[in-house]
Amino acid sequence: MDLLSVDRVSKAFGGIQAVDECSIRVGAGSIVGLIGPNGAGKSTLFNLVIGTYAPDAGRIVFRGERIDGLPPYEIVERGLAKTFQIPREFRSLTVLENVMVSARGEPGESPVLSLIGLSRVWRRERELETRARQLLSLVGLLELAEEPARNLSGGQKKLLELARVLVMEPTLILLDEPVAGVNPTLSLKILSLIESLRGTGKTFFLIEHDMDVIFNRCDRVIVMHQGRVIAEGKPAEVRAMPTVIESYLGG
Amino acid sequence: MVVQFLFNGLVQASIVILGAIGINLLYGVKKFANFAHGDMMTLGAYFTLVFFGLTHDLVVGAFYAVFVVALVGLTQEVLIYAQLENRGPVAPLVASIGVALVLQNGITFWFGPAFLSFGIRYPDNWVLLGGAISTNPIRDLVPMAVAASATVATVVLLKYTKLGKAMRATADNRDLARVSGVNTRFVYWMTWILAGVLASLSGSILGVAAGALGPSMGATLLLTMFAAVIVGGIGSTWGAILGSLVVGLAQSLFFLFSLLTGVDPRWQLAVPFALLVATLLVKPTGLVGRPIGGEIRPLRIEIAEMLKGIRRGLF
Amino acid sequence: MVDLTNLVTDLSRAWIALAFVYAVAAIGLNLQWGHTGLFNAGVAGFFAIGAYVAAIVSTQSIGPGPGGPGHAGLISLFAFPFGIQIAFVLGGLAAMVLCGLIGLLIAIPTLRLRADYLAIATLALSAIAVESIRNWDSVTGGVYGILGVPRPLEFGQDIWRTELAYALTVGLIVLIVFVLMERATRAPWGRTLKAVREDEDAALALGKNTYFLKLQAFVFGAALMGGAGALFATLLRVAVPDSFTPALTFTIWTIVIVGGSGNNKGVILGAVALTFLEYFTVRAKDWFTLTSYWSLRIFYIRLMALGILLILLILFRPAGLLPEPLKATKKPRILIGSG
Repeated sequence: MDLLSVDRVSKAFGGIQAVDECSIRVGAGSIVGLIGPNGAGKSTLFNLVIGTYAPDAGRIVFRGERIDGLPPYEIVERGLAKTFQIPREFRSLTVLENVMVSARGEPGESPVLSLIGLSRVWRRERELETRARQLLSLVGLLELAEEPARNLSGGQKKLLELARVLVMEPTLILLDEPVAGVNPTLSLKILSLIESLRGTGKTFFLIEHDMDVIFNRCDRVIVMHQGRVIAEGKPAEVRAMPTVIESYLGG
Repeated sequence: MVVQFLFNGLVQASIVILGAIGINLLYGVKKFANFAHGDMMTLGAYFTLVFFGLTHDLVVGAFYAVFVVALVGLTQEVLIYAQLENRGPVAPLVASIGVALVLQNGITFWFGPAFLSFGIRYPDNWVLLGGAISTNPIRDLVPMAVAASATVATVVLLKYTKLGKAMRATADNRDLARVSGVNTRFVYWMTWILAGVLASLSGSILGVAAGALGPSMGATLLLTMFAAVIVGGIGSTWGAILGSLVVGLAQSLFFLFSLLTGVDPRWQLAVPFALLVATLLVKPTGLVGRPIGGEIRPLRIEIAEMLKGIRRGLF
Repeated sequence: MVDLTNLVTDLSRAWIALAFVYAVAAIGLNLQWGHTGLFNAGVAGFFAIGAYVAAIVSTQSIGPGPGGPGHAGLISLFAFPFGIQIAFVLGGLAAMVLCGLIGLLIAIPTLRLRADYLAIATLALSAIAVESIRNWDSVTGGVYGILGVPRPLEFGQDIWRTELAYALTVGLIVLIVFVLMERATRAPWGRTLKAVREDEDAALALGKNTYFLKLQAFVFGAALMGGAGALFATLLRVAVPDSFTPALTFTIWTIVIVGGSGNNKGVILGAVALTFLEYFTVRAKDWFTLTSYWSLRIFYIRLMALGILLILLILFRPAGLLPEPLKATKKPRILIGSG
């Protein structure tokens, strides 16, 4: 069964049709790429899936359950997570805090429990901190754990985005340009990380402009143009399609 | 009898309408709520008194006061608000609180906290419409006339002049206006000048209607003006006009209601605030306002989700 | 010796206890603003409601008469040993609960709108609250207010003992509030609130129910302000509508700003320092026998200076004032992505 299926979803802003009857399938355990020229509607589609916007029409089904129209916090609860194209770190929180704050369902998030200060809250805090540090070490940011996040470089912020999204232990991860503007070494690191995580059962749906990434790493590629899906299939197939080439040259 | 109270409502509306239009302009073009607007009105009232004393002519006094207040408004823009342009709505709001403090306490410092008389001698009331309305020509009709003409002039300016169109374009979408050739800096200056002019006239009217000046007279009206703007619809001049009328009439009719039913008439002071809160609850964009940007979900959905959250998240 | 007891009385009542009362309210405002970025311009309103609740619970009801319209009073329910003390505690708790509820009612519609809407709405609330208190004669005593609010600990002739005891009581309360607040804000809850303040859209995308979180912060903050109001009424021994002016809101705001938004320790210190400043300038009038012209004028100059300071801070040191990030205008939710 498909992990995620987007069924003829549309969304317009003002007079602009950002997403136009898109249908997309993402299978469990795969890495799916989403490409298209600027303005094609890719980020908007991601925002629709994660619940930031509600679609004007169509359905979005995740693990057999309809999620369109639900607010983000309910969608995230069901195992979805998304990064931002331009990293949005919490500037005055430390790197470690940034990761810890992203964790879902911490009992300490309730004001009553944290006021009372149950030992359960603090135990979970310590466990969370350990897990957060492990993730930071995984992405190579452990030495910067106590730094305010605003001091990070662009590439490091991308890594932070990744760590943040991973601490949520999602099933399906939407990555919005995970390696854009990141130097090649770091890029490689991030991509191998994604591969190894896929091995542990996570599914990735990513937007990228770097064609090497897309064609070397993705199992399937979906192409959007002016709000519509114009092609999909294996990377090698899609690469050769005339419609795709045209959209990039013309768009 | 009802007609009298309707008329009184119009008089009350006249006092706040120019201030409300000014607040609305600043909100639309500069994107912030000016908490110092009431004190700009007070400034206008006091300077009217000063120039009245110098020239012995109230109209001339009001005229000169307009220049002072417009200048004060422009100064604020140049010194303060131009620097705060990209910082969101809260930064200029905080700054305007600072300005309000300076203006109000400066006035109190200079003129003293006691009420100063305007020194007008009010003629006897006129009786209009075959006895239905009793009104004082100076205390009621003059403010109404000034308010009405200034309102019309502003509407004409906004609708038909090049400047007006530029202001509306900037309010709608600043970046788009800029790339279309509008000199937004100039628009900002003119907006402040216009708001200052209206505030000053408003203050002068207030002084005439009240007969005496106090340093907090304008600030006391601030909330009523905000209520008018929000009820009418933020971002729309017609909204400010409509809101002022609604608030003025509602207050007056409530007063009538309280006289008839024995409810304490002092509650009428709460009417604008109640309307304000009701508007925020039911239709935050006001009667004729433009959307404030962003998807706002209906209240009942927010409440439903909050209840769900309480069950799960609070414990 | 007589002089010393007078000094203790004066310091306890006009400085220490007052500072601590302000500190409680400021910690509440700090939760709303410093931690969560919510602009509450109606602190005085919550203060007033809290004060009157406490006053009504702790006093005897009076019918209308030559002294005024009379007011409600529930102390007769506490006609048993330690009744006054229990009334004090219950009054305080009732004040907190009522203010929390009213805070909830105000916050539900306004928190989904922009920050400046909350400012206007809370300003309106404050005005309605004080106006209602002024008008609701039979219950609140109208403009005359409620007199004779008892202290939980009275020492008869030894006024200095009474004042000192109250100052210490409020100090203890501040301590408890501080400890609880620090706990809560170090916990995930506080961290999440900060995230919401920093970037609400990012927090939303991470699955946080930001609306609900903001509500929580606002309600708890309002409850604290109500509690402070109750302590205030007990300190002054009266509850009169004229005590609750926008100047009071302003004082609490100044304390939070001076103490450092988000920093509770700083806030308490700020409260002590600022109250001392007020205490000093008022006493200075008496000590230095300034001419009445200047003694009045100093008051206005001080407020003007505060206004200028505010403007300067906002222009040049907004980090001290604004917990908001300095990126481009908070764009409305309708963001058209670039791809």
